Amino acid sequence: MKSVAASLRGRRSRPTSLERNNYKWVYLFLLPTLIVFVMFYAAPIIQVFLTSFTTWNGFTDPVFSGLQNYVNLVNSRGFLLAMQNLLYWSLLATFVHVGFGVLVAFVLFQKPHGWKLARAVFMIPNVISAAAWAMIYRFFFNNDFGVLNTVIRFVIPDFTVQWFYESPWAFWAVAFTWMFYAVIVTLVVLGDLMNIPAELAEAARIDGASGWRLIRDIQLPLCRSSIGTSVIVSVTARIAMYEQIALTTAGGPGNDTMSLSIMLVNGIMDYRYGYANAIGVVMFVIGLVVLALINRAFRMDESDL
Amino acid sequence: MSITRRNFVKTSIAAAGTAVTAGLVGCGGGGGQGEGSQQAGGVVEITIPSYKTGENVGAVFFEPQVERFNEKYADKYHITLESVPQDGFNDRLKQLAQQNQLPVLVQGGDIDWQTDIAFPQGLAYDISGWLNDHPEVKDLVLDDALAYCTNDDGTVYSMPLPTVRPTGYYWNTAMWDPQVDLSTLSMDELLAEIGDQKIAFSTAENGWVCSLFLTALVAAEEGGADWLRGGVEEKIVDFNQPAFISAVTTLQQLLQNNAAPNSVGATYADAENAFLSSQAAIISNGPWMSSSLDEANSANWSNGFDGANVHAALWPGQMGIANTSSLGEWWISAAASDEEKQLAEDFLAFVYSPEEIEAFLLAEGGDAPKLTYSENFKEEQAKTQTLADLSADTTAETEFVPCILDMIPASVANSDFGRELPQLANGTYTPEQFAQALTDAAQEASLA
Amino acid sequence: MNTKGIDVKRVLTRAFMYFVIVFVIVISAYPIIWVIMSAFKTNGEILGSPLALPSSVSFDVFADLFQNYNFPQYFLNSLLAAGVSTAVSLLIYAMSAYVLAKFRFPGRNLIFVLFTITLLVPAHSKTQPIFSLIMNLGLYDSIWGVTLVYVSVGMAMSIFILRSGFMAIPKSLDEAATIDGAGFFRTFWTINVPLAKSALTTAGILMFLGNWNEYYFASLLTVSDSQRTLPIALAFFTSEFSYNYTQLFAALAIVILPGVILYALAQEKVQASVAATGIKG
Repeated sequence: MKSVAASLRGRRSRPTSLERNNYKWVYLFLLPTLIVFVMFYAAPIIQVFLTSFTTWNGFTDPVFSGLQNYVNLVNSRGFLLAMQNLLYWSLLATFVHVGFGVLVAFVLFQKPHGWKLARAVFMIPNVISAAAWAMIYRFFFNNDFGVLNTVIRFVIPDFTVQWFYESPWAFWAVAFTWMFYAVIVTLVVLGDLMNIPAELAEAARIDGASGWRLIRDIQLPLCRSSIGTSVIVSVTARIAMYEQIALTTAGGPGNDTMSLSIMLVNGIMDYRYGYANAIGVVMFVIGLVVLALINRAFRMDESDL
Repeated sequence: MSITRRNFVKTSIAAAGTAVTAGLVGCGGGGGQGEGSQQAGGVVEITIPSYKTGENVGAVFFEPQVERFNEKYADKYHITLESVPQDGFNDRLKQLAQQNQLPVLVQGGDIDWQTDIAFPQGLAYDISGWLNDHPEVKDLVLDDALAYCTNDDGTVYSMPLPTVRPTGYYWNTAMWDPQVDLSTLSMDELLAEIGDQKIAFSTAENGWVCSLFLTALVAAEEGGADWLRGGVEEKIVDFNQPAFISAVTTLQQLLQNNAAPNSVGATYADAENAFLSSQAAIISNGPWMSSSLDEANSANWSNGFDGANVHAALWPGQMGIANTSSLGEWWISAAASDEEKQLAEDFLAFVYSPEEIEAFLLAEGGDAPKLTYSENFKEEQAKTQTLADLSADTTAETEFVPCILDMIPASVANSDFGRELPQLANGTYTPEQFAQALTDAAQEASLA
Repeated sequence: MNTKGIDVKRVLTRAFMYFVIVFVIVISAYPIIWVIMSAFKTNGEILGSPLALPSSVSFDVFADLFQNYNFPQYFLNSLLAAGVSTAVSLLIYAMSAYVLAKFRFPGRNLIFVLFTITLLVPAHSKTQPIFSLIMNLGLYDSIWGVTLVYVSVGMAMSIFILRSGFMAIPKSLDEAATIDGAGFFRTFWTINVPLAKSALTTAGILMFLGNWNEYYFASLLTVSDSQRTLPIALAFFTSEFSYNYTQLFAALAIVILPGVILYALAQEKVQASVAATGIKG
């Protein structure tokens, strides 16, 4: 089956003359987005980069300080844990969050009973704001009157765990607030699944492929780009994740659930803007590395069709 | 600072809660126009944004107060309130300042922002001259507050407060009814008297309720009060002090033996809820809590709780938690026109009149040490049990100690303190380790 | 072949599928059901018996809230800000995503990288430029200023999703269209956009919901009651009510329900349009 996909893969070559003729259209199409970019993002991005090399309290003139902010960041108490948490959360995002979303997409694609209800209900958590969601989960995980422990105590009467405030549970409690809520992944992948030309599946079936083989050899490879997109979206969401932590554990207990975003806000509280922006730059860089890695892993620059 | 009360908690939530927010970028200059001022038929009108509006607890008193001002000066002035949410209020002020759009009367803002940015940049109007011309106002403000608000060159930007609202503790006599005169006890005797009664704590947000109890414990230690006061001049960054460690040891025991259910992870509101639902017999809190104990707010009571059963007292040794060396609530924009400044000054004079101060104390609790109270006021105050209790305890001998959270770097107060508390409660940290963790955090926070 | 073995396998597959469906429904629906249930319980019931049903049903709390707040206005403002910004964003980001997905041109990677990092720009560094931009445009305290800001917010996410959507559309279709004499714009508008409906829907939903729930910029940029969106209105009272869990949950329910209802109404239509987009050939 691989050959089918391979033969359909786009070629990599120089721009064709047709493409060159289209340049003015291409840039015209990019223009509105570029305008929005310049209006809202260009200045902040430049400022974040430049001031990350300075000592700056946000109002007086920044003073160049070389890599001092970065050195302070790497030496700070929370940094290693924040990076470690980011790594583990990103792995959970990639394999559990995206994995589950893809699984649900494939299940829904089979249209079992109740699939429409599931598809509709799955969206509800995304309709709820992060602040309200965090509040709900603070109650859910409450030791004394939380639903989870109340249920567990039916089985183990003396059970007591402060999910958000005890090592090592806090890490998992924070992860649980987003881990299985993968409706965006499901929708993106489902869209790709529906776009697979009917005769491809037909051809495969005639070749004797069925069930798992159909999924593994045809459908999964052809959903490559949407799965890759899902991984990028979920991992970058982990890098930017703030409210889910700030409104539940705030990075605690100790530094157990520390993240770069929490460290950044703490820096702002102390008017350490240069330092905070150095954290911002680190977040940019991680985001770009993730983007490059996933683009390559999923060969996302190449179209199959 | 005396805004340390319920609002403090909320402001810090705002700081932490509204996404990766905050931010003053670049420099703003002075000059420009105040917001929304106009003259219609000789009446000077201004619009000021305030969070003490609508459903906010502060609105109950503040909105009618502004109305009283408008009535009194009906032919001269009119103030319109713009209702803005408290979350993000300080950010809005910073941004308005950048655009030279500050309101004529500015209701506070971040402390650090005021002292380090707004005032040095000349955004505020100097009221020292006006204060000197109005001894009836100047004589009412707290000495410490006036000294704190007066700059080296004699200028005064923030209007010093006339009232102090010391934090003590409240207890529910239906659950705990001590038969001794609590005011004569030392801290150790008080704790012995408390025995195994449940105490409401909070560790979430900034661990505010814990921090109040801890402040009292530190202040009861030898040299503790002075150590805390040292933070007014320069923030405390070294917690490896015998007084602090000893107080933390006691706090740890209380957290492990006396904490009401659900204390770890509780927000300020959760802690108050624990008290109002008879899950805790004792809570450390300020005079603003008296409104929660009023029959009018009985909708918040449950489990047979009755506000009439509650008494309040200051801490042993006549110690109240309050920072008298603080900025006030109001300042005037330097960019305002002369008429607007006149209005602003008359508004301050109005708010600082004896009747208004007394009305404020009755509504929100507290004490005005330099004001001679009217008979009527004393009678009214006696009607509210806890206000009367606290007022009886507040005398010339009362010692004020600032809350520890106001004396340490902002990120340690708003983030690290609350994060490390659960570690202390569940025994992961010894008191020494807790002190070391805060010291490390504070030293990191004070890097450039 | 052993037919029995196949049957067992099929039954197991079926069972597994239904397990997934049930799991999805439970984890998604349970929190909101619990919030609504709690809004009708007393404070004591919430603390004492979290799983029990409310002992009585009273709408007093809700009635109070609706009396004191102009919810229809806030709802309309939210709908306007989120709806208009989503429509505009979809158009302009679809155009960008389309050329990024299907054309090679100088600067393509750089532009894609720039658009990507917008996702990670800290809000604190955006606040000041946005505030002064909106002030200078005279859109302070106007729902349109908020709408404009919302257009910028979904840039990275929408371009990711839309780019992936356009990449899934066979290039042969474009080539066929070009041979038929279709111009650049027509190829985009009449061939690609209809076929990317599912990606457009996903990106649209995502943007709409993000803007629907946005608090920070809405609170920073508006003042008047008439310009207020739902999240701001709700911020006014959620903190006040947290002393009493019953009221807190009533407030939470009001935070959540308009969005859920709106989604429930829209989703049939939206999903149906997506489902209709199968590519036949």
